[in-house]
Amino acid sequence: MDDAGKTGAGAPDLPQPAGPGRLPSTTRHQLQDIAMDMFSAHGYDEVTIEALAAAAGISRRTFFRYFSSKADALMADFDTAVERLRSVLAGSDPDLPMMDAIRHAVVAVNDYRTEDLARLRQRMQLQHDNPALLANGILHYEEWQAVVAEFAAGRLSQAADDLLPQVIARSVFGAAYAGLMSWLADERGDLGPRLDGALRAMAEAFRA
Amino acid sequence: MRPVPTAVPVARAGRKPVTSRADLEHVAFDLFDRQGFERTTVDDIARAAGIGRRTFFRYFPSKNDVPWGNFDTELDRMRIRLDALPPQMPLMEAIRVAIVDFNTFAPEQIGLHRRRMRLILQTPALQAHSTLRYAAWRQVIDEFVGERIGQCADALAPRTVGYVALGVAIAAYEQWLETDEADLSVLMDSAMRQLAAAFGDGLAPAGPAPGAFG
Repeated sequence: MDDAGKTGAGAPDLPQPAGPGRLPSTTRHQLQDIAMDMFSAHGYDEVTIEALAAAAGISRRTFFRYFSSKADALMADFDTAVERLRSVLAGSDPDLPMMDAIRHAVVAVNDYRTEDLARLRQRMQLQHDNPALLANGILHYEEWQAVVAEFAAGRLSQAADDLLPQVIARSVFGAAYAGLMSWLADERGDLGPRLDGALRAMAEAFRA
Repeated sequence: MRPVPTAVPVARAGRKPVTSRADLEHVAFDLFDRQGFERTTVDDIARAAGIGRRTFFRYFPSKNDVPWGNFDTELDRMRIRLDALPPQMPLMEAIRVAIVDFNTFAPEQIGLHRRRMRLILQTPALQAHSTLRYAAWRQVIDEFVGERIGQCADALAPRTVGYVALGVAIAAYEQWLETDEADLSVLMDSAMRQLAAAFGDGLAPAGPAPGAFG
């Protein structure tokens, strides 16, 4: 995809971020949506960062102020969820048992609704079809797990890379991922209750 | 199960050909260490092993499969192990026993297994392939759990336990790779026990979700 003009047809112009500081997240998400559509239409390998930037009406330099790589452009929603998870966990009731606090936070930040399904499904499909996108997605999943591990470590007065915080982070991610996959398979209801069901199923399995 | 030849064709160019899957793994791992996984071709491995390309493919269907060794056979072993456990053993205890057993290696195999897992967990180019192998591993757990609780293997509860068990195993592996001595099976056992204990710590009563494990 070398012809930037062709791919840029009809794409919205994005505002240029003004000066240093926090970039507007709406723009980041718009850029993600453009990337997602271009990757789906032309194939991830065929879309250059130049073409992506041109389609969004920004320069290559500006693109790199939003994302550090082409593959990262797909993960804006996920990155936002990671930051929300961090802040919800930080604000959780200290009297709530650790595993319940984690379950509540995971459900609270994954408030995907049926109308968000198409985008989420599109990302999963792109990751499924392209090993580079999958590998990059897994790096972002690691961030999510690091947030859970840090919270658990704080509660347990351990280091985040100790065994138990890591086991909790990986198993909670696994359960949440099972919930997500189950939801994607039948599209019934919102994602939140499904995640709650998966995390409760995990707890129940250990108590049975 | 793929056939494993007991002998390989005659060596070429005076090299001593490798005659086992494990030897071929060692040769391949040395190349991966030296020139990187992605830059190593099947031809490179075959040449270094003193075998032909076709012989390579009798041991492994692809380069990506090399780090996984005898994985299919190991999965069959885990399935048999799970099925042989007493039905009254609590579910997660049965899974703990099976995972610990699956990850118990003879001392002379540990070095190779360490290299194998380092590759699998730390090579970005292998991630996509690994998800398929992980899925096969989870499937064994899912089927066992489904059978135990009277649900389809692909229902939410069995799949959740499959993903959780995999997460626990990977966390233990990462811990193991960080240190030189830590005993892998002891780590696996400890990982499952600690997670179980974390849930015992004042869990709120389950909500309206049906008690899949009740």
